[in-house]
Amino acid sequence: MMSPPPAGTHSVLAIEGRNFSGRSDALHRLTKQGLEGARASSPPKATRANTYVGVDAQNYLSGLLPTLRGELELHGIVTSPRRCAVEAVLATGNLSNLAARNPVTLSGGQQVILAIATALLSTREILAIDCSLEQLSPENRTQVLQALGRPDLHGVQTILADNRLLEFRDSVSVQAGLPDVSEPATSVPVMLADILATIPTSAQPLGLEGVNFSYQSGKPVFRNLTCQFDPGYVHFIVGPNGVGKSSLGKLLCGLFKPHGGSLWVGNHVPWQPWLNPGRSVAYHFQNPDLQLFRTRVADVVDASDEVTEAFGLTKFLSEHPLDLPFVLRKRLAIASTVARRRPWLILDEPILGQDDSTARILARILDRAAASGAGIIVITHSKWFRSLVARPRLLTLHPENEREEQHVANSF
Amino acid sequence: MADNVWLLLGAWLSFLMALTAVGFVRIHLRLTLAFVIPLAVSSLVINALIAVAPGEMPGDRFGRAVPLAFALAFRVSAIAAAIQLCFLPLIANGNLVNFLRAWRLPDSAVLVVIGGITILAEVRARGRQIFEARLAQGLGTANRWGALRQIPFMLMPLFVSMLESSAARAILWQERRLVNQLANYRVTDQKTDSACIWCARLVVSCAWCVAAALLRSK
Repeated sequence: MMSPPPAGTHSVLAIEGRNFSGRSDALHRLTKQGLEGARASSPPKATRANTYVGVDAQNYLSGLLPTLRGELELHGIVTSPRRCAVEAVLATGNLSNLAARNPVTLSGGQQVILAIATALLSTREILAIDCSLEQLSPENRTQVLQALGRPDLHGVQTILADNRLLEFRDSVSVQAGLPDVSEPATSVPVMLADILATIPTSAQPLGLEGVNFSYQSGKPVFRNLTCQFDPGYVHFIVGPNGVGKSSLGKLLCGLFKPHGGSLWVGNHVPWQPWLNPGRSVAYHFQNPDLQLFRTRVADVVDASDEVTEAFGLTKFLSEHPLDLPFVLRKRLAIASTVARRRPWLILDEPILGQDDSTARILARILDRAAASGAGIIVITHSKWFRSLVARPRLLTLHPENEREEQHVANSF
Repeated sequence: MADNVWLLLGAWLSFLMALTAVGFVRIHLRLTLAFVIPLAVSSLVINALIAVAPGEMPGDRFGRAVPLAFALAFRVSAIAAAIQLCFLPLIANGNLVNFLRAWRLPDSAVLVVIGGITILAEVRARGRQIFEARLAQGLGTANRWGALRQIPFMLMPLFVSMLESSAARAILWQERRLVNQLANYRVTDQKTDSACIWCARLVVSCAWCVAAALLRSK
């Protein structure tokens, strides 16, 4: 039996635990039954006073209106007593200036912020956030957590399941743990095998020279961006939500074509990846569901592949990929991207929803791949994950499109 | 009137002007490019080259097939433009909810109808993401023909993600009572609330009634 938090508190409560420890089930139960329901011995009828925000934030936006302003007004922001708190949440992702944007076109992190803001407007008692905050930059996450702890939220209790809480204990008051979380229904140990051989070692340096890029209807994402990526390092692209981290990865993969400037490879040989996207650079997307195209796990990854074993997927070979829980779908999508055997590998939020032990395993895999000469680029907000890697390089993207590149190996 | 190319052209241009006034002309032109023009070309090919009567050579009917193809194109375009003019402004300003409720539809049915409409933008966005994911894996090419060939492989993830998204959204709408809020929702700066839309709709309705009455009297 789970112990619900004390009533009337405004602090943020966190449920700790590993993957498959039942955290999501606990959040769903609290959302459905409410605090009193969770305390009661017999399950009461479902309540509509609570809201749940999961990993795929787009599903937690109404989609009924084509602008951000419309979405907020539909949720009653104009008359809500929580307007100030919600505006504080929105300010973190710079969403206050994007009122006319279609929510579908926002970045993943910005969609999370909007989903939380709209949920706040609808919640009466419990706001359950399941791993979504992992998509926010450290600054934005701290500000959102502070906004969620504001006293003017009128009794809303925020409850988190989050794998990166260790990084935020100092910045906000996080109550750790519901002690008696139910036993896991299934336990999936992740085995580490040597997957060094699975990543080729023929990667060459690549870079951008004075690149300009913007989406069809919007202000420039990059203006005169110049940077270089070398094999042998694990490059981390960091920056606030919506600054263009994923867009930079997609430019390198060839999914987007720059509007100015050039890309180069090797000894500054001009390179046009958009002519053959995905051939030199493999890209793992944040959302694993959109990159699994087959009907069996065995068709996505090779059964005899070391990667399959390393990610603990061998026992699920006959399953449908989309039947697996999110955590395993994410691992499967990473495994399928690695299995493409491209010289460069870009991983967008690879540890989203993954617990610490899985993150450590992934860090070791990336280290060994980089040591063998592969090119690795990781987009993540976790400082802790960056500290696990032996040879990290940091590329910070600023909203003003200034660039700062530095070695951070000694920083940790 | 239904076979007179010039009258049909006039009707279509009138509707086109009205659609331009209310800001939906791009949607209509997209429909014209994707559906009406291929339909007219097919009609031309079939009537001029394939459907040959005994004693005729392919191409003999070309002179008659051309106005027939134009008439077909303008007729379909005019009807489609009229329908778009009447129904597109209903979406997303809450009038659709009130309209469906006026028919005494239960909220569950209203949710299904609204869901069917709102899911289109979602399908487009997710489809784009899935296409990019396939490109990122080196599957397919970025040109239009390459995109067409990707469609069969995109259906499964697209369909599943849409189902999941629809289920999550339906729960969200019910829990937050968003359909009720949408019915009462008004945004002052939304184009669809402008008076010219109501005028255009009124003109279309009147023109439709007059044309139907005239044709019936003949």
